[in-house]
Amino acid sequence: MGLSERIASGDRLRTWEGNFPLEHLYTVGVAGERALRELKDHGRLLGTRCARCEVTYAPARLYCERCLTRLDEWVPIALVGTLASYTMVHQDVDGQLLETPALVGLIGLDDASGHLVHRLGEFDGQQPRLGMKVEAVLRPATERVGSIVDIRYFRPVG
Amino acid sequence: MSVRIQDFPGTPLREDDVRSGRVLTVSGAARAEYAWDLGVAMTRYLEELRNGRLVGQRCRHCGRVLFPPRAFCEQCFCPTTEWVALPDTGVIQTFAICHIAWDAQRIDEPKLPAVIAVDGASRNMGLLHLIGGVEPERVAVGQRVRAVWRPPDERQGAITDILYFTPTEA
Repeated sequence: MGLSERIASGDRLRTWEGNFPLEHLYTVGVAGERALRELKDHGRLLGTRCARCEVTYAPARLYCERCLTRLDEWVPIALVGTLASYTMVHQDVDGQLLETPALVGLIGLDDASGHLVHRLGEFDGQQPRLGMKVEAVLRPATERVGSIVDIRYFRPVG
Repeated sequence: MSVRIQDFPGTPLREDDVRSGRVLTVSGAARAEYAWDLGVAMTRYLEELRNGRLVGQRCRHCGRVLFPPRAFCEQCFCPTTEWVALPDTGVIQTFAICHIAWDAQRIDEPKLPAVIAVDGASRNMGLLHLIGGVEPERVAVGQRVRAVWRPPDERQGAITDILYFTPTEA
C-alpha cells in the first residue's frame, strides 16, 4: 500500500523554511570574572584550590565540583603545561570545510588539576607530541577583552 | 511567596552591567535553519491557499474529512485519496486574548489566536489561526467566522494568505 499521489517534479516539491533565532549570552560568573580579569590585566590566569579534595581549578571556579565547598583559596596559574592530546580540525560547527585546518590541543596546566582545550600554534610543520611542554601566547594587552581567547594559542616551549 | 524574600542569594545584575561590559560575558549564536519537507498533502493544501481555497482529504475507510489534509488517515493507517473542497467558514471552538508575543514581549494590541472548526471538516480538525476585525470582548466560543484573505497578488501559498477569521454576525 503506497501513496496514491507522488510528486514527480522537483518544481512541485515544497519545503517550509525557517530560522530559529538562537542567541546566547552567559556571564562568566564571580570566579570566572576574577580569573579572566587577571588574564586581561596581568596576562596571568587565576585558579581556585580545594584543599580537602586536593584539586586546583583553572580557570577559577567558585565551588568545588567534588565536595561542593565554596572555594576561597586563590592561586596563580602559570600559562605553561603539557600536551595531553591534540586533533586537527577540518570542519566548522556547521560541517563546512575550514580554509585552514586548525590544530586544537588538550593542555594539562602545570599548576592546575584539570585540562584546558585550546588552539595550538607556531608548530610550523613540527608534529605535536603527547607529553611535550607548551606555553601560552597572549594577545597584546591593549587587545585583550577578558576572555579565554585572550590566549591566542599554545606553542612548543623552546 | 517570592515577595516575602527580601535578600536573594547570588549576585544581582542589571542589563546595563552586561551592555556596558562591567561584567564579562560569553556570547554566541547557533545557526538553526531548517527546511521542512511538506509532502504531497501539505504542498497541495498550501498551493490551494494561493487560490483562495481550503481543501481537505476524505478517508475512504472511516469517512472522516481530514483538515488540514494529510496523506494518510492516522486512525485507519490507510492512504487518503479523495480531495474535498471546503468553504472558508467555520465556528470558533476556543480562543485566547493574547497580550504578549511569542518571545514574551508585551504587545499593545492583543492578538486573538483561535481554533476554528472549518465547515465540512470532521470533528477535532480545528485550524489554529487568528481572529480579527472585532473587539476582543465581543469574541465568543461558538461564533461563526469567515476567512479574510490577502489580495490574490500578495498570496504566497502560506497559511498567512488568510489574514484572519472574522465573525459573520454581530
